[in-house]
Amino acid sequence: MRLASLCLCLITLLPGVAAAQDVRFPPPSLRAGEFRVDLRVRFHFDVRGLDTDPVGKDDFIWRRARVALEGRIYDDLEYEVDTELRDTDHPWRDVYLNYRRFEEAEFRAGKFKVPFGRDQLTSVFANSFINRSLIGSQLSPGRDIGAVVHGRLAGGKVNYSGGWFDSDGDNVRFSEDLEANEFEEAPVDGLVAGRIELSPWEATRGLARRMHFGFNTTIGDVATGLFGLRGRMTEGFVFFDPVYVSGRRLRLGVDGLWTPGPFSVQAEYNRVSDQRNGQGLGDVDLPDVIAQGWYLSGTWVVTGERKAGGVEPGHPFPLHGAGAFEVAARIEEMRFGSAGTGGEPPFTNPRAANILPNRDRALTLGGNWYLNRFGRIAFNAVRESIQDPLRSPLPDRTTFWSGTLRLQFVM
Amino acid sequence: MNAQGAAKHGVRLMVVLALLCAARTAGAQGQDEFFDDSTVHELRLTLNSKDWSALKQNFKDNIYYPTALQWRGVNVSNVGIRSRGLGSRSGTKPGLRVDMDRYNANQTFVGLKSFVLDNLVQDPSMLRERLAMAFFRRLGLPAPREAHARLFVNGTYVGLYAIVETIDKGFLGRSFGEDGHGGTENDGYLFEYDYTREYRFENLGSNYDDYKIFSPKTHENDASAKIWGPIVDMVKAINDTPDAIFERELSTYLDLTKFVNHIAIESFLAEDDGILGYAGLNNFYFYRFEDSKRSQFLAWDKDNTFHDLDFDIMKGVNENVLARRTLAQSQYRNRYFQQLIDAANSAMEPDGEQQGNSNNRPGWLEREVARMSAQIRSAGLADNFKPFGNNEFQSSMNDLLIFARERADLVKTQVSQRR
Repeated sequence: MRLASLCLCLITLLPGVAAAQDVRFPPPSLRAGEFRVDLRVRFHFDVRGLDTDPVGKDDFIWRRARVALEGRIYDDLEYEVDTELRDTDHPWRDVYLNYRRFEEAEFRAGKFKVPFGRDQLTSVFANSFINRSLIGSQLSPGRDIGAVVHGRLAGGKVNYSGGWFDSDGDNVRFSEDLEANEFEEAPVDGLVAGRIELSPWEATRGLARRMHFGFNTTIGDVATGLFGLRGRMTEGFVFFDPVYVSGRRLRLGVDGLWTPGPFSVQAEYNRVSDQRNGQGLGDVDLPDVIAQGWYLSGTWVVTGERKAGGVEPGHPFPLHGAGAFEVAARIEEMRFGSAGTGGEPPFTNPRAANILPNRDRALTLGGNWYLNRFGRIAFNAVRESIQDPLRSPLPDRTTFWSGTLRLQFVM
Repeated sequence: MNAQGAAKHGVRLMVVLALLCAARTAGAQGQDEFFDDSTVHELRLTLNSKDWSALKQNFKDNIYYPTALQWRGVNVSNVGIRSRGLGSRSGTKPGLRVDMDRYNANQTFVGLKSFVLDNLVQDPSMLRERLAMAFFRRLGLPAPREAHARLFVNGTYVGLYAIVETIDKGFLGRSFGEDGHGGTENDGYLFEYDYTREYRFENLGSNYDDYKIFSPKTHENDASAKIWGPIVDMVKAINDTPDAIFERELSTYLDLTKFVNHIAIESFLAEDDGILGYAGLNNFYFYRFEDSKRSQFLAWDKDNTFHDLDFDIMKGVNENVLARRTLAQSQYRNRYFQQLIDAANSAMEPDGEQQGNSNNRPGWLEREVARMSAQIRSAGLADNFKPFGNNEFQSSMNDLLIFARERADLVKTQVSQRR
């Protein structure tokens, strides 16, 4: 609570301090010849309420404490080193070098996000919702070590990124500890990923200018074993356990974003299929296991500020006004099952030919109060429903509510 | 509805009822065949090869693995099996629990939700468990049905096992019949005794946690007071009730006659690890009847029977508070001795069809040992996973024959000396 209070103080006092001292805020920056480094500090503090007690617990969470150094060396070489202070086992987030000599073909190597999934690729600090979408946080790969070629073509109408990664991203590495982010061994050995984003009306002046479409895929070989994707509800309850897989993991996704003025509409569909070669009883091949989902979200900055590129309050709190206010809503669904029945009735066992499906459907309603360039207070209420009452957090209940209040500080 | 419509409706209803009865009967008939002890069955399990290896490697864990089960053309897929047992757990010849409803709550196999495959690793004769349960049933006490089976996993013979009926609601309903309210007596509180330390019905106090050695298998989510309260009261009564009113008070909790019969049968069978076990209570289930505080002991895991021909019929009585105080009552002491005599007579009962002097004809127990031994001999000899050699296997069966021939007279002698 003391840290939260500190954040609140920083959010409200920093603008005044900056104005009085003529200090360059944000971010603190250092330049020495061709070397430049910018410091970024970002915190998230959450207060969460769940109605799935005793499975889930109401709590206060120091959710994120990120410190990043980013900058350039000789104008053509960018770098970023981003670390999560709370994660003592695996603190490094983005750590990469980006060679940007040619806008059409830049080269990036290190640890960074696999180019897949608009929601996952959006920084959590820029997301209009407290939690990423179900598919964004669980079906998209997340970060991994790799290298990509990426660039902008056709005057910015086409953005592409494609390359190779060491594994399937940290979103799909998990252990019994839901807070952990590592398998003992990575489930996918080598991943090819590619994304194309189209902005067909980029050069126009109309509302369509803010329309973007994305298409992405990943292909890798998933290790043999209980490494199928796990389905988790927003608060962490596992509603679909991993099944035995072996063979190819294919990920496909499409998405769209439109940000006319103070509004935004965003949608995405992802599908992940894992082969199950030799994973049946008697070592027979089984139909693929399929994880798929979608979301549709909309936001409205009621105080009129533009949504594209992030909301910057026209009248920041406390010196010039009350900040900016935004309302947001998202519906989404994520389901798991098998691609075929294998001629059997459905079962829950991890070697069933016909896997008994389960689905999580969620409605999120929320609001954001952008106080100033440093801080935001967000509130989300989430209503989730699970298809199978036998695989839901509480017996004979399939609908659950949760609420989260977030304090965000960014510098 | 007119008369014609009512008649049609009635016919439809009768057809539905007939089908339901047929299904129930089919299930019951299937169970009778499955536990038919006139033959050694053949059971086939099909697992993923990695799962069978993992089960044997992690035999101390209770991890379930999906399996297909085949018996006499009846195929059930996606059942769950896991390693089981206390001292009998083995990574070479795993004891198995087979749960039909592990991955589908409505799935059964010949009407069974589960059964046990006893690996028989603690009994070189591979017969004691089945023989003892048959003897309990012969003397009128409920006991699991058993038969032997050759078990094949992924096409490979992995040993001779005993198919053991699980003590569950199905067993309770079959054993106790109707509950007096038009339903089946199977919805009481069923407990499996979990051996953790030596305990012989001493008063452990009123903390329910101390009585969780009685592990509930039904009504697990009920309040602790409902689950263990009557057991706490029973143990208190066992220890604190004055002798003069002992029978009256304990009758609230136990049918003392059935309790005495049970321990007498165990003593006849030279059971050294049962209710009067050398290391305290062990190897039983405990069923508290619906809407009642009364409970009954149920026999379980009889691998340690038939050990000692000269087994003392009073062994363990004085150490066990319930047995000591019950047999201190003359009517129950007499009942105990009489049950031992009844057991001896039943064991020695000749086959009425045989010719010759009845004193020379083999009794029921000897005939059963001979029959079962002949039945399982070849399958047992071919079992390369049993932890004892074929010589020991065969000599143990001979020891059983000797026990079957001589135990009854020795018990009668002990009874005459103790009365």
